[in-house]
Amino acid sequence: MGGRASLLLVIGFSLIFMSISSRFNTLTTSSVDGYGAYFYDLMAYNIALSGANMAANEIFMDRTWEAGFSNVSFNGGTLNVYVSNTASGSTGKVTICHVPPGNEAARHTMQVASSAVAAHLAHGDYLGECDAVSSSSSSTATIVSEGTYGDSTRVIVVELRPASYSKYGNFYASISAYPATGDTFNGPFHTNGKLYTSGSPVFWGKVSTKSGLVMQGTPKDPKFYGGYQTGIDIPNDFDTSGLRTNAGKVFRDTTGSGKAVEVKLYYNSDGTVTYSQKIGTGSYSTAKTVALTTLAPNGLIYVEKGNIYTKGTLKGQVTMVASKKGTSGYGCVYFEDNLKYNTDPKTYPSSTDMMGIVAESNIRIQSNTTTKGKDIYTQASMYSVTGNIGPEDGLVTQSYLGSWKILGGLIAADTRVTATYSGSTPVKGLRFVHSYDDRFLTAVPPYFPKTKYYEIVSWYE
Amino acid sequence: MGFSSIIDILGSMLIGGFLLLILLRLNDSAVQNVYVNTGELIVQQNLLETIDLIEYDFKKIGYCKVWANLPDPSKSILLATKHSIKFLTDIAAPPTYPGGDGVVDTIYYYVGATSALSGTPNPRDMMLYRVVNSETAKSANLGVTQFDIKYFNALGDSLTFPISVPSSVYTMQISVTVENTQAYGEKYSTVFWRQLRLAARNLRNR
Repeated sequence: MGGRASLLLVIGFSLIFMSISSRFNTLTTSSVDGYGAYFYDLMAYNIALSGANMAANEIFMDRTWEAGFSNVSFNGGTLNVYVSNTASGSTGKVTICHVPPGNEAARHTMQVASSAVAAHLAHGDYLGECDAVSSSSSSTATIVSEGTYGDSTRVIVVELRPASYSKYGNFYASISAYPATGDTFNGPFHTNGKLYTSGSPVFWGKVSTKSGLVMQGTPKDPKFYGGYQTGIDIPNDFDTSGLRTNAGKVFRDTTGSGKAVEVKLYYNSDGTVTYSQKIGTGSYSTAKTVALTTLAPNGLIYVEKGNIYTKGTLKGQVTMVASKKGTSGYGCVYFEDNLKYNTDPKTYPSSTDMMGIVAESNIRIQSNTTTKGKDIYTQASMYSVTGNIGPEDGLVTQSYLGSWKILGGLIAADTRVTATYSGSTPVKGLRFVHSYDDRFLTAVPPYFPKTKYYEIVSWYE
Repeated sequence: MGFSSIIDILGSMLIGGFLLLILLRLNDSAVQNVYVNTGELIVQQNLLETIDLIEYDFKKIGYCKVWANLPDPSKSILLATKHSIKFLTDIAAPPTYPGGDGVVDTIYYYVGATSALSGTPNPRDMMLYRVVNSETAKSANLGVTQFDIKYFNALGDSLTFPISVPSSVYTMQISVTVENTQAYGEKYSTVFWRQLRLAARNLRNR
């Protein structure tokens, strides 16, 4: 009797303990399950991230790269990278909606080679765009990186486009004047050399350098309010001859004797341009006034082996190019007076007036009776391929102290002083007053030169 | 009834009493353990829910499906304090708009005061609020007792508060602690998560 009772007691207690233990085990397992799932998700994300970085690097090195990665074993998981790239040169692109396996929410419209369509359709993609909202027509490469670890898949989508020089507020192959306390730079800033700063200059846009940063003075505290990145090499070796092919209007010596040309381009606020040209040592032709869209329907004006003299008020979009064709003394652009937009984008951000200036040599504010003794306004993105940008010496040393008010960007091989200084204070010439035209972050003047590299414009994860 | 029977009864009562005490103690212990273990599970689930949401949103700082609508993503952080952050992104939820709808949204994260949750036994828990654009703040009492953000500039130096120029933020460190809102014997379970350097990639683009 007693033995049976004891047995029942032991069995009863055992059942109670087993029940409680089972409950505890369930709770503990559930707790760990949560972190297990998080770990799997994190690993899948890291694999996708690596794939996106590797693919972006491939495109930076070879802008036509479109191969992608297929079922690569990576860090215990699997990596797939799909790339659509309009620069690849492959024809017959087909628009598909790529649906990452098990992650339909991350579907993305891509342009793929027709030979790759069957493989995409086999894993659940379908023809046509995914949704009504597309990212942007101006991004030319798309990377879709999928990382899979266990049953977790993560997707990263990266959009790239060719970077234009016009996006820079300041771009210098090298800098001979150090940014210092009191200096403020707007818009993206780049130098292919080492950036020396003195004290605490302020950079509102992203700053990139090829060879690093040296902080000098007191305090050693440059303010990078738009970020800073080093190791970025953007060669300043654009060849303007390629623009000649696309030019809507080419000014050149048509006599076949290879003489230089001097071209005057005066912009009028009604959308017309008054132009005349001089070949060699001859005299200027009779000035003609035509609509800008008539002179250069695509907005690109090219002066072969010559100089451009310009001023006025631009209504419309244009890029002027002055090439020297191997002859020194040419390939320059001179401002005879103010050069402004008809609709000021600072007041009206939706203004569509936009000017690009490309000079193989220097870009100068001419020292003349009109420009002396007053402030000068220039609104454009200016690119001096081998020289620099600034006023002629006569303006730097004039007795008047005014300002050169720029709205746009300066891209040049080097910097140029604009005023005569007493210590650190300008006493003669033109103060350098630069504002960045924010429209250049997304828009580009017609045919304005692009750098050799792509830039990432969107990163979705 | 003989003497031995009385001894048997007393002995049985004694042993039965001991067994009853053991059962009561066992029951108490089991309740405590179930409470603690369930609490552990809940705080861990709450933490995972919290960080899933934070990572999903924070990694999209400066993102917009139509990227031209957000020309300078480096200026996407509008407000940066120790316990709150407001930033621009494109957060239209999939599957309707995978990757966003191309319209720039504002997201604002902040925590309420501990006094606002005086109804819960835990004296440290706070509401974590998430506000999208001008919508009503959404919140849940997930037992968040810490939501700290530390900011770093492009050179990797930590920024001191107040941060007058939020665009100087380049990376950030996020610390989140979640506790039970109530606990057995005030022994609150605590779980902690820290993202050492969260770098929203779009802050560095372009």
